[in-house]
Amino acid sequence: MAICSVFPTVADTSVLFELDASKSVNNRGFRSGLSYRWDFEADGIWDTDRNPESGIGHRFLVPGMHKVVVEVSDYAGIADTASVVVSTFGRNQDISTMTDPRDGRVYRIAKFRGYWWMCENLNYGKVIDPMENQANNGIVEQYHGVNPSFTDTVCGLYDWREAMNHNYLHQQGICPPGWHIPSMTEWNVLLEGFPMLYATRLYGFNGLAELNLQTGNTLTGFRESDYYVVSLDTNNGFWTSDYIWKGPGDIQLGEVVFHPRGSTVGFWISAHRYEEFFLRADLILAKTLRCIKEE
Amino acid sequence: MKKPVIKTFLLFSFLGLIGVSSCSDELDILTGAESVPVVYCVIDVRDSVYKVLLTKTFAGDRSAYEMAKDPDVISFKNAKITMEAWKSSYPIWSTEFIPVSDTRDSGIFASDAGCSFASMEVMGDFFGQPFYESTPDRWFEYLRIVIDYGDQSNSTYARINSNLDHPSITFPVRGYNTFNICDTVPYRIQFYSSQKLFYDLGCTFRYSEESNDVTSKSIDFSICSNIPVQTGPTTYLINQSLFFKRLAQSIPDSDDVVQRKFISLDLRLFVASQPMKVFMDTYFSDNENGYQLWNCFHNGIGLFALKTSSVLDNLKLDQRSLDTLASGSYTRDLKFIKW
Repeated sequence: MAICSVFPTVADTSVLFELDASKSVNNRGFRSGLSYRWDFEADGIWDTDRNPESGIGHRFLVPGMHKVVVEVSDYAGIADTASVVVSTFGRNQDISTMTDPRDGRVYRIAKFRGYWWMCENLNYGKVIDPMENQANNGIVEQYHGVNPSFTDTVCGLYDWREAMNHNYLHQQGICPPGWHIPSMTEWNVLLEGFPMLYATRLYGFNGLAELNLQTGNTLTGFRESDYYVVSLDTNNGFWTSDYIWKGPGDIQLGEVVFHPRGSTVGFWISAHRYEEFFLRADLILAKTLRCIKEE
Repeated sequence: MKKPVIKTFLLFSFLGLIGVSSCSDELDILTGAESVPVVYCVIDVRDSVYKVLLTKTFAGDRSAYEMAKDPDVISFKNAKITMEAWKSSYPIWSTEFIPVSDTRDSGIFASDAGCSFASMEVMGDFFGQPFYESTPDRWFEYLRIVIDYGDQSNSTYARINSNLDHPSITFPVRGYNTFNICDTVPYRIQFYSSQKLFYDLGCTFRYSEESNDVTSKSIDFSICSNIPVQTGPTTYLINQSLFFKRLAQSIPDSDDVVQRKFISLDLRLFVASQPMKVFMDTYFSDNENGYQLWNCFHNGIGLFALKTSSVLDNLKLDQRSLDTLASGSYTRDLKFIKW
């Protein structure tokens, strides 16, 4: 009797699937003396010769469902077959570019789950000294974030109020025309039906979704003017358009963090972040921004 | 531990070669043989770097005897090695390996051959500090090695569970930081094991050596390998004769040495996961059936296991033990002084 199992059952096209028929037995219940051959696409063409090795690793380079058949034979030539089905997904092919008509800057974009996402952080506005505040003066202002570890990445760091263009009721904020700052709900679309544990491979740097939410081209900043200008790290934070006023100096802001290290692995959304120093002049939390638009 | 195991693998490879190639003038049945990767990887997930030794038995369409002369045939310099941590059937961490050394002793039957690969990242970099403060098996369920060769060859792979015991050593009742090996009551090492894993008790022995000048030295040796354990508390009594015998075998002999002086020692309890236990039981068994094939790799042979260790460090020798070190039958020629 042929018995086949596979590990894992769902993975991307780069992952090796372990196909295992070692629990197969002959018609007298013994496992010795068996040989195995494999048909990786169940198309009737054997992809391997008969071999005494009961396990084999295989990558499925085309996304989709794949039925695998193994034939197990004993010395007498008596054969039986078994099959398993695996599912693979691949790299996002819906990628393009978008030109910001305001300054002509070109951004990579990717269509994913009903939205076009900027794959790079917004880099728009007048660059000001980190010692200055981003003011409500009709001019979009940004701090330039350059992480020495990723010298190819330059992006804007924005105070949340500046990101919203000081209009907290309008999701467009400082995004290009037709684009807007994603809400918490829209960020949550990325998590639907997908294991958080797999987030790095999907959403991380050079991940399959092509969104690049991890290190390499995303930065978050923090300005504390008393003694330090702008600190950048790779615990990336992106502003959302969500907020809750709780009173002067006390506001909860929506923030999305891609945090693949530390105690939490993968991608999580902190629904609302308490920002005690929001209205203090000497402390500014400046973060990165992604813009989206519906498909 | 590493060296003997590596050599064992190679021993089996070369035993096969000897057995067949000795007839090569008349009938070389290895001509056209397929390559068989040989992998050795025993890691502590908390290490700062993980290493994999990769070599092979004989490959290609030339005779095994001829191939053994060619270092490029032996090693896999272009192999792409990936290690992955899995949880809930999804890979949550992975790293690639880069070749760091390509060892090949001269001679056909070299004692050491293969390419050593080092990981570009370790799990501690990824999981952060809490990883070091809790048992790693809470962070992942499986660890897998995948080796690809950049051609149409099948991948070599092995996957192991992360359920590794972490040993702890109970201090002996007497002599809190003193290794009273020659006391009338044997020195006890106590530890707890929930599984019959591979346990090895080793020692790091530090001393100063006076010849033309005074230098500090440190040697490592195994006191007992593959300690038989039961599930539950295990007590291991250190035999003083065995200890001093192993010590004497480990300190290099030199006529230039005027005297040596003991400084301190560490006792290290090493534990490795089930594949290591099975491997050692299989290949180092005294019975005649010990040479049955055991292997945890597909499309290759080798050992992939997890290890960890606990240490009693900076122990001193009591006076009776120092006396034995200086005058005992195994170590008196080493010229240790009694104070």
